[in-house]
Amino acid sequence: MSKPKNTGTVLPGKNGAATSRLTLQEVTFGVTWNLQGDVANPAFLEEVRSSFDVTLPTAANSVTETPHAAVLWLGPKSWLLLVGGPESRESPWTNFPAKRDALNSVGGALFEVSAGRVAWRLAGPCVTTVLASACPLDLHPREFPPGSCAQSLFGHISTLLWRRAEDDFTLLAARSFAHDIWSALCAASAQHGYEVLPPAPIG
Amino acid sequence: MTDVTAADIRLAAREGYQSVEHLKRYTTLGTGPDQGKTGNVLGLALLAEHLATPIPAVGTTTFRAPYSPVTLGVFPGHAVGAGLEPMRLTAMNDWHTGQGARLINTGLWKRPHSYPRAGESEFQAANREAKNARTRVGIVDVSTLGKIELQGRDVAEFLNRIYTNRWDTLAVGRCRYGLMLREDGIVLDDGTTSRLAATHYLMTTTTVNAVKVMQQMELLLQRDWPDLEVFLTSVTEQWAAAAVAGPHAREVLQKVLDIDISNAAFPFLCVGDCMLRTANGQVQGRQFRMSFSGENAYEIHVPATHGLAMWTAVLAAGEAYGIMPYGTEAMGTLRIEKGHIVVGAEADGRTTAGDLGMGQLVNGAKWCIGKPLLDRPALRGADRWQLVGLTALDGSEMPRAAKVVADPDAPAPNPMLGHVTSLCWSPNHEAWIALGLLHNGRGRHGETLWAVSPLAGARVRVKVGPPCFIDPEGERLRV
Repeated sequence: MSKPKNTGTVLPGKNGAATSRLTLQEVTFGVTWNLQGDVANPAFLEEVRSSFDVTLPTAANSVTETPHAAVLWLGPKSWLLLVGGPESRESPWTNFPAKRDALNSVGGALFEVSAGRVAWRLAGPCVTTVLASACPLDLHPREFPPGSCAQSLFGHISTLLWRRAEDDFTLLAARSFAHDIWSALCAASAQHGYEVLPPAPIG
Repeated sequence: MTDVTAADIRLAAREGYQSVEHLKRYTTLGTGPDQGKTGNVLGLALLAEHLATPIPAVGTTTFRAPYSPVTLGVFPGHAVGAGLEPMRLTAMNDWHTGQGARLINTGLWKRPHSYPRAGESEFQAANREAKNARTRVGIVDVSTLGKIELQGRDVAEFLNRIYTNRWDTLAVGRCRYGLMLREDGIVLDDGTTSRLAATHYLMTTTTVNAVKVMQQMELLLQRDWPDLEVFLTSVTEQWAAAAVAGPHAREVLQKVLDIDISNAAFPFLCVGDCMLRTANGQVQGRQFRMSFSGENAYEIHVPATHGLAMWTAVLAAGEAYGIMPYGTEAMGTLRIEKGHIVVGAEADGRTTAGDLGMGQLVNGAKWCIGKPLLDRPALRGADRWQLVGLTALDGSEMPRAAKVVADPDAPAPNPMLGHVTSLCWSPNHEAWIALGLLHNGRGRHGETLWAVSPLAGARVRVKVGPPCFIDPEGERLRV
């Protein structure tokens, strides 16, 4: 079993309180691109549709998913495209320079940030309790339902939090903070018991 | 516990404060750090005695959280010691600490100070590293520099407005040094911007100012110039970066790169995509030719996931050339020897481009932020403090935080002509040297003055000169 790259000294297995009520898993992305542009610009929307075959979420803090990709709303003109990995040369998630040029030519932008973040999947019945201990967001499903994302804090560290299901969150943070945020996650989870799973591509 | 005494309680009762709630508010009984857990029962018993009733009849005050005393440690939790504030680590951090480097704070980033060998002090290590970068080749982790990418039709126009110099003339594949001013004309930040493609640029900022510059640009685009088609994103975290500097820098990098970086094919201030051979296989990166050390130098940027592989590949390629890693201390020495400013030390929030000897970077033909207020008489006066180089005489050590005076024996308050902004032992110049801001400094080259630090009891004769101690013509950059 390979050692997780960004998880300090904690290896896969059970930790903290005896009954594990939470799993923590580093998730990896093949491609992370920051897409920017104006949805009022039809040429931009058409380029996005033909290049990536995704629908951009326009409601604040919402996420759209296809079988291969997720699109997270970051701001009125900014999205994060997340893909597990480009499976083939024909995948829409290859040939960055051509896609950037095409988007620039219609008044949009595409930035390569695939190595810029680390992410963890947190799942289990006490996941909101653990997150709430260090994150100021209201995580009640009425306010933050599955399919939501938001830029917030975990402890002192800026994070992007994405709720994929009632008890299933993905937390993204800048790579340089990986060591600290992992320590904070383990500390917050210890009293509930947590199991560290080996890293896996986002599914 | 508050300092409530039995006499206080009896006095309160005599004065009519006979309800426990009144007693509490009149005497502050029970409001100390123990929240009454030790003091209240005693106080209630004293009140009961005075009222001649059983203790339970006196009652208790309304309980509030925290019901049980809480130790102060519960509130900070893990935010103590190393957890006091977040720390940012580069992709090469484990390598640095594995070599015994002590980490120092640069904002939230941790950077290696120097790499002492067995029996070596940090001072000796930094001097060895700085000397080696001038005579052979050195490598330094510069991943912490702020990196902001810009795309869109109007990026060149945007850069023209926020930098003092011209950007619409920058060709694809070229880089340029730039200076940003605050609205009042004072220097805000410096860095380089590279044109990666027709509508795609990369800006670097100082490590500490990265967030401030990003916020300033976002604000300008949203508030002042929404008509400009410019998109920004921070890519500081995307790229691990190393600078390779010294007479052998080109030979070392040529061994691991697939592009021709000869002087003819890749002159000073060039940028290009490249493939780098590492133990992990080929890694796609960006190669720059730019220099903070004053030596012929390159920066190599690779995705942060490959940062360590890049670092070790360049070290392996450089082994035959005597490559050594250098830390922030040697980096500081190299830039002081060249008179390259640092925002915070030389650009201290009071200095103009002219004060720093960079007046020629303020383009006369175009407007930019801060330029109109540069015409204020006080900023144009002949009595400005200007950047100079100082060399300690008589074999003395340059004092820290010194002020510069004409006569160290003048009665207090001794008129201050300027102050030292940065200092180091220069292993290449073999003297204690400093940069400083000095009243009419450019008119004083050749003068001998005194650097004094009354608190440290230090007084040293210094010779004033231009703020450059090595290669004043900049020939090494272009070899």
